[in-house]
Amino acid sequence: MPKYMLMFVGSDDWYDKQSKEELDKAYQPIMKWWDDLSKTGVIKGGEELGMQRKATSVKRVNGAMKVIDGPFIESKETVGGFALIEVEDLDKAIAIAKSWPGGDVEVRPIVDHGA
Amino acid sequence: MAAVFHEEAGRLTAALVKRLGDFDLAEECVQDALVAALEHWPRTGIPDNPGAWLMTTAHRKGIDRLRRETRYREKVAQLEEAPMTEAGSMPDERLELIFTCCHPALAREAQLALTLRSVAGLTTAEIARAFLQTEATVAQRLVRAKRKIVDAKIPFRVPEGHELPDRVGEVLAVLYLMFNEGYLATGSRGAMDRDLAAEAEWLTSLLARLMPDEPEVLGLLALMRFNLARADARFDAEGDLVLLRDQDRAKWDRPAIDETFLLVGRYLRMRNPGPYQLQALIAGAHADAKSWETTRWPDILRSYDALLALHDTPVVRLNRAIALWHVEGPEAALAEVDSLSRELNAYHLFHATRGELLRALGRTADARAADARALELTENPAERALLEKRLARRSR
Amino acid sequence: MSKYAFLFMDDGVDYQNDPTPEQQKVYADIFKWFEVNGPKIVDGGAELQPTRTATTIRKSATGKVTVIDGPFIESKESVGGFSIIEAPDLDAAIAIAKTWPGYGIEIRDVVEQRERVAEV
Repeated sequence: MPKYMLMFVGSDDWYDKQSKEELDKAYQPIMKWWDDLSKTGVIKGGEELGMQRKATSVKRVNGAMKVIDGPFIESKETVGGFALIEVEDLDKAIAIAKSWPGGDVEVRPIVDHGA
Repeated sequence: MAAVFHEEAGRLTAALVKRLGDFDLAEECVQDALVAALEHWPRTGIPDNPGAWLMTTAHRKGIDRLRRETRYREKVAQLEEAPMTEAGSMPDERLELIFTCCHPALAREAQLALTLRSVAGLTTAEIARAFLQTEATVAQRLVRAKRKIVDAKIPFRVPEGHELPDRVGEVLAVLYLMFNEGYLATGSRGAMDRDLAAEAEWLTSLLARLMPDEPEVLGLLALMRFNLARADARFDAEGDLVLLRDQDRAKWDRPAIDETFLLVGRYLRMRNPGPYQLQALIAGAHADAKSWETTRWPDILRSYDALLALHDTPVVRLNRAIALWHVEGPEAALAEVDSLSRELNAYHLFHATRGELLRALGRTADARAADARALELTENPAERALLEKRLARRSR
Repeated sequence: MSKYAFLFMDDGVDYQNDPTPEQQKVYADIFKWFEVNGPKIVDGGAELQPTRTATTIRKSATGKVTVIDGPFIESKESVGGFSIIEAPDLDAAIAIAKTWPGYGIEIRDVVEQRERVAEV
């Protein structure tokens, strides 16, 4: 079956604005989402990612790899986490993405090297 | 031949997508078959069973194509095995095709082009002419859309029950946009391109045949048909736009209007109101009136109120204000229209409507200013001509 | 040992499934890179198809959900894949990232459950 990467859109700004209580409260439905989905067996991997501003990047400049303090692309929104799912088709992937209790989600099919 | 292509292209594409499981490939085979038909039929005449002829040809072209491209080796076996004797008994899978072409994961312009191409059988050149774009742009758009269907695995199916309302809404949005593009076309092509509007009506009619119990589909079809019935009165001898209130109602297609009311009756009996059904009721109220003066404005106002309850947008409020004008007077209507200025300031019809209301209130200078603003905001040549005429008149 | 997410970055050139000889060499080198660094990779993750295959689910402030064609951000460069690696510290992770034969990598922390609770 095809696999899709779900990329959960987030921003450092949002995190900055939350109190510890608000953050815990926001995570409840998210942790439930992971639990429920894991039981169905469609989840093949996934992680939550740390803040964008704490990132370090390497970029090829004139043939050599240059180290950059910060994200690869400066942007308000970034990937805050991802989930790799295996489902029948795009409609099923979209349905799962729609059930994400957080913000926006990008759904992208992966390259199937196993084929 | 155009009628045959209309009827058969969509059926054929759908059947091949099902059989081959590859939208891109199926589409290419259908195009090959249509090209072959264009070459042969003028000489030999249209075959008795054009669908079967096209299917056999598409099948043969498909096998040729597959043999040339190694990545399709397994598919050759699939095609060669499949029995080709169902001439004339092809199941109609155009509903699956319509939902696939109008999938929300495709951009609106891609949905439009793909539906016209795959379901209505239009060529790339015809689609490009309809939207005033280059053939290369449309071809690229179609290639990208078909590749996305294959790469992201957009499924070829009619959505399940719980998904259906949203997905039907998406299809109707595409068809409605197509109709409006044709009916009210912007740009330098001309004031109205009826062919695109006719395509949209044909597609909506097909959808209504395939989904006879969906009231919103019937609603959109009725809305389109009421509008099309008035088409002959929309322009005068000079080719200028004639407003509804000034139209010669003798030029309206009465039989078509009467028939469309049968459609309205059908969906009213389903007791499941929706925005397109309500908009059709409004169009129907106008179509039914012998004159502008005898139009049943309170009925229209009630329909707008119901529409707002489902679909509260500034444009709906603007259109409702015109009905309000005729029920409560121009002051009440102007107050309502002015409350929408923040949202609709860039919309030419907002200013044109204000102009009409200001004129009704005797505020001539303000009316001129509003008309001038409307003129700045529209590129439609027919609407511009109308506004220019209005402004020129008062300067005398 | 800590976990780091490698976001493999794409330079935005779509080879349309028809890579040039230079690009083919890069692919071959990438294949070798995964072999060489295999022991450090705790989750192979996946290579993503280009952004033209993306679909984004957007949520409005009122909670209305819309399905849109395209990635969540329109930009020339985009994420082309993910892997999770394990390294003693960030400097070690950077050293590994520098050997990547492709365009670039964004290195992000991976949030572990317990970190959230312990956070001050």
